[in-house]
Amino acid sequence: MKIDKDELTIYEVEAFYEELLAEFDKGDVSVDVSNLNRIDMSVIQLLLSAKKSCEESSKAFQMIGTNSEVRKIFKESGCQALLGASDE
Amino acid sequence: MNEELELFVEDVDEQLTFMENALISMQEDGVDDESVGALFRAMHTIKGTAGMFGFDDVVGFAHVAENLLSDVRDGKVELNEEMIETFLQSKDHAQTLVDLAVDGEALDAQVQAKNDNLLAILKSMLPDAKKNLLKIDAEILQEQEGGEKTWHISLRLKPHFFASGMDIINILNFFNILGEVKKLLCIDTNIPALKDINPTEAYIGYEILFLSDAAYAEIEEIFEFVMDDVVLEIFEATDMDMLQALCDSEEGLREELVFAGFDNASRVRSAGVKEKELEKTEVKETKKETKKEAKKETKKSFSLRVDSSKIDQLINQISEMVIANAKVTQRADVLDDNELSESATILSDMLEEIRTGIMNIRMVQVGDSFNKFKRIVNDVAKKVDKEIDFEIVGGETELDKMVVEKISDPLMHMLRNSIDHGIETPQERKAVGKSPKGHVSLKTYPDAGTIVIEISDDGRGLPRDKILAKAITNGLVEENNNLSDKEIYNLIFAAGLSTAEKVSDISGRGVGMDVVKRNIEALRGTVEIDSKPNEGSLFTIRLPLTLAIIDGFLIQSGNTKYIIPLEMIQECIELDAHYKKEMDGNEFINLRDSMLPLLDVRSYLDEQETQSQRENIVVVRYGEYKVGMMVDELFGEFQTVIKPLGEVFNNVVGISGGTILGSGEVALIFDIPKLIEHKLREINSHGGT
Repeated sequence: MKIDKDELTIYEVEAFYEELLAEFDKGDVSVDVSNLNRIDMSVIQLLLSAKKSCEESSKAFQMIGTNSEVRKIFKESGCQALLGASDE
Repeated sequence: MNEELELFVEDVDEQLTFMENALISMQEDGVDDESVGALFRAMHTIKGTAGMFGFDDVVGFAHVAENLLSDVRDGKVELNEEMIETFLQSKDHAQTLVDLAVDGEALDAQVQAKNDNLLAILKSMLPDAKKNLLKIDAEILQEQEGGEKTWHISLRLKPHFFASGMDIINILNFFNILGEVKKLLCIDTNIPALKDINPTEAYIGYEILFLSDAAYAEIEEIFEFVMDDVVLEIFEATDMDMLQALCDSEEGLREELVFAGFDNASRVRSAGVKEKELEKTEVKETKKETKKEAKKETKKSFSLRVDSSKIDQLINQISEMVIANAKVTQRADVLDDNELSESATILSDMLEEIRTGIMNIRMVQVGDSFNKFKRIVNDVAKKVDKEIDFEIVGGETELDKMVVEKISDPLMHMLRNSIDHGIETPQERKAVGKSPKGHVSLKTYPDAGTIVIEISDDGRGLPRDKILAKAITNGLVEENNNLSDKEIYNLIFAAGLSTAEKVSDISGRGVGMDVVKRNIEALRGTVEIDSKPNEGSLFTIRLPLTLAIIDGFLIQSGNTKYIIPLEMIQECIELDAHYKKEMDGNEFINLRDSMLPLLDVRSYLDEQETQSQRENIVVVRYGEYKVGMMVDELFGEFQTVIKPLGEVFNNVVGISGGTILGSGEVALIFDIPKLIEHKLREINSHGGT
């Protein structure tokens, strides 16, 4: 799935959750975040949950196209390692 | 601007005002601990709140200022004149920074230069390490929390955290400003599986190791705005008891901490400790909590910020209640029902109390706001090389906050004028035998339902002839006029009349006094001038005390009922045959050996003749003027709710509004100052011809 928004926060998180859940039910989860420049903790938390759930059900979880803005937010949130989003 | 930002701006305003007042009071009365504390708190709060919005320039600047203030507070640096001056500049600069940040603008070169310059000065005032070393002895070390420490912060977001609207990542970033984040461990164990998660609830938590010289309270303040939305523990990383309690509270936490490199965690026991121990720590915790809470309570009771529109709304509702109650009273009279009448009276007493209470909420002491003039006076005096002894009298007088704010600019303008034009240079003063120091005073006191603000100086006085000449040139008055000195002085309020030969950046540009007058009139106030050559000038501003409800006195003239504001009434007398004979066609009577001009309301407002047997005179006073108003019936006191009248009434001089009586009738409210002015003008014009 590709996120076509510039910014994803608590205001959009419920819609994003629906999409993510649908993706998860289909199989592996791959999120293309290359358009994304800003996220907040509610979204990070959801990504963490998705990653965890994938690990538990042996599905693959990956994020593609993390740009520097989002990487910075991951770093500031202390979730960089947890999300497996290391510096590319 | 969103609501939070608005609150921030208000808060900064308040803090900077505190700061300015503290600085000025120290300039005058010497350094005291309380004022230093206020300074520190102001900078500290600004730094804290600005950080929440990511205003880095503000935070950076406030941080340096706060550091220096902290050293001043701890007695490491002495607060001298020069430093106070620097802090005054810093206060102005902080305001500029905040304004720019709020508008989302970057610093321009000039502000940046000022910023760098001030930062350099502030930093140079910091004590150097050597001085520090000398002072630090065991006692000080124990007493103050100075020196870097490693803190352990344990944070769990409560489920409803996101509803607070604060971004936890921004809050975390704030740690980097206050010190150095050594370890940031995100606790994700509580995040449910994707199928079970509620995406709008927060599940996340943090364990943070943080190296900083900040005190406990400062770290706690980072979370000031989300206090109710998080579970927070802050303790020194070396506090093994707290760490033990923390590890015991969450399964697997100790292991996670150890894994993440929280070294001390390896020294605490893993979960499953003796019950007794656990109890002990719990007791300790609760003790700490209660202590914290008590501290917060005292802070809260200090003041409460309320949107003024809420108070206006209350006042409106009270007004409606007063009218409704008037109806009940009237009905009780008609029905001759004593019990109902008594209840209505009690109710109206209570309404009166509530009304006074609400009005009081809006009242503030003028001193708080006027103190800032001291600084302006100092600045202006310096600029024009004059020595001024400035005095504020009656700062405890209370006035509606909105009025205080609106009167501030006109007052500032008049004070500047007094110093720039009124007061002579020290040399000139010596030459005419005055002390070289000029005296300017700002005096406030209540008088007959109004608040009077007087600005007086002992300068050269207003140039009567110059004003008159200029007014004639400008065509404001005719050449052969009969103006009194006072009327001539009041000409300076006319637009476009400035007699200053030199246009300085302080005053003399010909705009100003007319604006001053307009501003004051917009507040339903009046302004007057008196002046004596070489003795000085006196500006008298009168402002109404009241807002929407006044105590009125109900009268009737012809077929219409009128209200006269009760505070302005001096007495009522019957216009009997003796007086009538004395009048003999003139509009004056002799009241205890002084002449009292009369205003016949009936003829003034074209009322019809009445059958009333008696005629009465209500003597009203405004300032030093008295007029007797000839009316028919007197009804007595009436709580009057002022309702604005439509545009049709705009040109009726002497009527300021209307009100609704219990019977549903409309009564008109007299504008006494305007009526008196009208009467005096009439007398003068008769005298002239």
